Amino acid sequence: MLVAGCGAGDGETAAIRDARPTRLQRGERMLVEASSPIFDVGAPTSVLIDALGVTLPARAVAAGRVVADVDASVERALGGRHLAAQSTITVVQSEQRWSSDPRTRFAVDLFPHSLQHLANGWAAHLPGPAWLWWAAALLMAAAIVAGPLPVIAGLIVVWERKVSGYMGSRLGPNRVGPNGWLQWLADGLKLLMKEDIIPTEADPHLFRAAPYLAFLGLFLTFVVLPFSRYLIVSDLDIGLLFLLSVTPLVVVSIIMGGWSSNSKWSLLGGMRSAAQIISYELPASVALLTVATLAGSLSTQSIVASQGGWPWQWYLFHDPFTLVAFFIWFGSALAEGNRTPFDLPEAESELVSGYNTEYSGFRFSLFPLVEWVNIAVIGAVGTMLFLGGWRIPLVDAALLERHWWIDLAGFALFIAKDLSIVFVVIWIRWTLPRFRVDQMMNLCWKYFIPFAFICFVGELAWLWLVPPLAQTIVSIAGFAIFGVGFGGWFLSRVRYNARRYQDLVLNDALGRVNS
Amino acid sequence: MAVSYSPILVAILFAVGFGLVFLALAMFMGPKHETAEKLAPFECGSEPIGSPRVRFSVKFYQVAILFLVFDIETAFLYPWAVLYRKLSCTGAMYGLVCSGNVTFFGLTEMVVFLAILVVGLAYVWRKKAIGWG
Repeated sequence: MLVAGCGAGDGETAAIRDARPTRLQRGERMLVEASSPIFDVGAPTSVLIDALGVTLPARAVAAGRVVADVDASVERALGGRHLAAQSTITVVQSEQRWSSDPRTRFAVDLFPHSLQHLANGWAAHLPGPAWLWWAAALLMAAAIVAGPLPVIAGLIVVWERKVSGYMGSRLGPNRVGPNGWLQWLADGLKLLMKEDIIPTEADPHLFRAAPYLAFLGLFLTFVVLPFSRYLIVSDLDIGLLFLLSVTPLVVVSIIMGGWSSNSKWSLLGGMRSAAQIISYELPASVALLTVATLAGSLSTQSIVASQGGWPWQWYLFHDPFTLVAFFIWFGSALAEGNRTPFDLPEAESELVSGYNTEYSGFRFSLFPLVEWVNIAVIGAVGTMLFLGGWRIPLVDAALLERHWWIDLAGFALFIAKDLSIVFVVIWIRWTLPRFRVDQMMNLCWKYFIPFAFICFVGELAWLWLVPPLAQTIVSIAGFAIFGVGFGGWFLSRVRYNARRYQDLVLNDALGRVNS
Repeated sequence: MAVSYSPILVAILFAVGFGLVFLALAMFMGPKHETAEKLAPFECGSEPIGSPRVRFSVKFYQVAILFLVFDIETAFLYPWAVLYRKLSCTGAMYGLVCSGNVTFFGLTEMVVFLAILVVGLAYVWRKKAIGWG
């Protein structure tokens, strides 16, 4: 009865309702859905990506669903090239063709550049079993990402010590290497040569395993962090959710370390930390919902790509709700990273060293390593979600594709934004006092969580009520008021105070003549 | 699907390998002089008094239970938030721009869902289960 309206005519348009995912590596599948049951299950089928002129072998799995395979044969036929276009999608079955609505173009991206793409290329062109090249490329990718981790941690520690030194009228480390910048290497070597003590009272297995888990939770975040357009290990469809799921692994490690130490200080630190981190997990994930709504995707690269290069195109200034959401997320990230003003779990004046009191030697040093690299991760997450990531003003995808050095500039921009957030985190540590435990819990449950929900609902209403032109005007006005106006005033105050401090305290301490 | 997730497995192996290599190195390079005092739990120099395995304030458990409830709710919000623009559009989508009119559907659905959540939050707030007063 209803069949008359949706008969399978030749070349019918708008019969294809949806196709996903449209960003495909080799070995992945695209699911194409029809708006009505029209396919003949079992008949030879193929899927055309019209703008690219590419045909994918496919099969109808149901009357309304076709699955297309992006296999090695497709990659060989295309020469392993990266192909991307806004395209309609057509399903061909024997004599019949059905297309998607020409007004709804799918952003098809075949064999996107990534480290996996590189692995596929090696496997296709070099002798030996394919899985071996896969393993080699993936291991290399992991090494590229993991190799700098201790260095990042070390440099941030030296930086933090220098900042704290200057804030306290001291010089900070200045002996090892140029201006003390190799201090981390000396510290690391020293820790390697220290005794690894496992207390007799401790549960030896859990005690030994805890630092691994902390390191794992940290390291996994690097899988989805988009350092530039092409420098990402894997652009998962659920990148943001993945990020939110692996970071709390650190809390498991902290409880494990705190409980298995069988020491009062460790246990108190571990319990406090668990309560704190899981509480602040909630406002952080609700605040990030605003970004997921705006980008319409959880893939980290799509979130970056949906922002622009100019500051008013960043999600930070998108509307008042995202601005508040950014600060809620940032506060929660500080709490989850056990940073001041939320560093109660290792409150050194109360709990000796908190959950890691009983640890020593290199096993101990894995905890601070995680903590300091985590600051860089906070910076990277903030950069990609709110500060436009690697996007450079006036540079579009086509230009990026042509010149590799533009991609490098994007990487540099990402790192610069990341380091600015890292600096703010360090700055906060040496400026603010620690919260009391009741203040900390109340701040989370009675302020951050309700405000995060208000931001989220406000964001939804904003997208729905405010026309696009007004949204653009608000973004630019937001940038002018908060970015240029408030930011400029704040920086001028900082500059004034820094100069005053230089004249009154620092020069005096260093025996220099006042300028 | 499985292809883009395989780096996670490699990352897990690498992270564990990193720890193993450096801790083995530390075992070779570090000294080993164990004494009973050194292996005792640290309690500011005095003999440890009693076991650390004591009863904990019930507040910690409350936080854990509330976290479970709210975190699952938040996890449910994610797929919905991603689709919000599509749910609020009657016509076709050009990337993120809607060609048709906006509809109430997405917003109303979520406001109802969130309202239930907020009632829960208000209830535990009133019962003084949240906060640390």
